[in-house]
Amino acid sequence: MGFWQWLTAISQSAGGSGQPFTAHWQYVLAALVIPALIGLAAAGIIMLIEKIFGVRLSGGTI
Amino acid sequence: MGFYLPISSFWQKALHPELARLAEPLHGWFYTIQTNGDLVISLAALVLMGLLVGLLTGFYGVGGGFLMTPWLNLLFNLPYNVAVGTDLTQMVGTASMAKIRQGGAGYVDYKLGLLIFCGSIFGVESGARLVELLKRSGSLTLGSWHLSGLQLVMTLVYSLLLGWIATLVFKEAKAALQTSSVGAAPAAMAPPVANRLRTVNLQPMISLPVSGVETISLWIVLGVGFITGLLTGLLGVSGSFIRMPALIYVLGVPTVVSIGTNLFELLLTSLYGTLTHSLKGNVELSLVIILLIVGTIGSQLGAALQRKLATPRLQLVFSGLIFLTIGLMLLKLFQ
Repeated sequence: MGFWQWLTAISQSAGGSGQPFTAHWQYVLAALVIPALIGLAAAGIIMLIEKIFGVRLSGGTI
Repeated sequence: MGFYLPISSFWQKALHPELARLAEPLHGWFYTIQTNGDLVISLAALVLMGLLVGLLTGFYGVGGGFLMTPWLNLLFNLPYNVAVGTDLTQMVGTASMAKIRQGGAGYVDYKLGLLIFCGSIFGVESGARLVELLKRSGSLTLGSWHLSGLQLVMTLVYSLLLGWIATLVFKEAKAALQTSSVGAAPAAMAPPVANRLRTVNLQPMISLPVSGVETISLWIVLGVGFITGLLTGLLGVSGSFIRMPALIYVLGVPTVVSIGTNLFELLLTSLYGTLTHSLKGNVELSLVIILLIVGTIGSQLGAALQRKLATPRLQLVFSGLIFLTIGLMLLKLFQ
């Protein structure tokens, strides 16, 4: 199963049809971990680019 | 290329059951509602929008949250609860990145950050529960219009927030245009309400040695957290545009400490906001990933452009773009 299919699968409600939304634990964990990992990876890539090319990039805007 | 959104489809069908019984697909600007009610959006348009929001964020130095959420609703018909949850979850990534990048650049008052976070928890939870309440509020009939309670309230609240921000940007640009021809800009002053709040003597009083604050009411610190947390939980925005002035003017925290403390607190608040919104099913994970990646690229491009092109006239264009967003949101409401 591909990554996007896995995301779609865990995003489905764990409750039955017509029931209120019930979150899978993987969905909640993925929501907390995936963006943090992307943020850390992006910070690493930006710092690497700064080192290689000797430039100063933006610090990240919130 | 069409991109299926499972969470948005779930809520679209739950909030508007009539959309699951369409005779033929319904086409919007950059989305299609299929006959079974599933929402499919244009991937190219999503990438372009993410780049543009990132570009604006990097260029103007303001968070993209206040434009991202209404644009996700306007352009892709995402229900507001999903737009808010998705935008908030993205903030975990931007805050993590900013924390790593700016970690050594500012001091953090951990005691203050944790106390504000205590107030934020109640604010975020109140905001998220308000979204839940609106989600289940059904529709109202106003003359010949049938308006969803969630869409109506969020459009009005966002219009007020965006209107306030656009007015501030417009005034700042006008002032910059005038001072460039007259002389130096006047120094920023604390608003009178900030000075009054600083002298409130409501027990218990605490001291914040790292920030150099001798005494301040705990309730003021918790209140700052609650208000910014409420904005985060309800609207998916970082609330830094309230928290930063509050830290500096109300609590009297030095700017160098307030930058690091704001970031630390934002990281905790966005994690809590993500937890509560994901438990309520308001986070579209695939969108979080795409928007975070393209938004980061866009913000770097925006920051690079800003060093070459920044002028007060472009700030006027930005305020015009925000006013245009308000107009389109109101038009969509009465469609």
